[in-house]
Amino acid sequence: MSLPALLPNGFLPPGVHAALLHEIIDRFGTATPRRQVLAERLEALLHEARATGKLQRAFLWGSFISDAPFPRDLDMFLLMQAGFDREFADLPSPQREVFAHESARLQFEADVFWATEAIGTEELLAWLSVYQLSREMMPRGIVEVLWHD
Amino acid sequence: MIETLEQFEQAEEAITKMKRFLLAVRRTHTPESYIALSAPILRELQERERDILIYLSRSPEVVAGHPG
Repeated sequence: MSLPALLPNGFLPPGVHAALLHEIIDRFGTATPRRQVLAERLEALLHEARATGKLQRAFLWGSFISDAPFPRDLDMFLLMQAGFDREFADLPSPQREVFAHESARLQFEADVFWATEAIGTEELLAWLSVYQLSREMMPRGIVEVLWHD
Repeated sequence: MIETLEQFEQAEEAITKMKRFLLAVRRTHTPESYIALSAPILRELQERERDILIYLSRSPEVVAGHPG
């Protein structure tokens, strides 16, 4: 697996590109101090999300996976196992912060959107298609985070 | 920023999909989780609808860079 080259607009080509977390960090998390900070935030956030034992899929978009030298934040969607919506309020603090939008912004510099797989594949694909066009109307790709296990 | 009719239509389509997504979440998630996870989506919807209203507030001549 390898991520494609960036387009002239600075983004990955439209589509959902799967990559291992370390590949994403090697590619987008080392070039500047800001990127290194966000890479640490990303690892920490995903560590907490995975610690729930309910994380199914994770997607990234926005300035972090672009050529921006100073990405503002992380933009993510976490798809959780069905039933997680009944459990998330009882999570221990470090994990719960991931799923509370304002806390995630403060702690991880991340805009975290999430839902459970109960939404169905059609709605997930619709969501992913929305974020393949930036608010500045630039076509762009999304990265799905993979792990070895 | 929305500059063309095609972009306007794409922005409208995106908003429709986000609203449908919210309806799906509303139908399938607990009220407590819906409140938590819909808040940022609603804010994003508001920003995207503002982009559309800004586009609609300008005449085609202004959008094309020929005011008057």
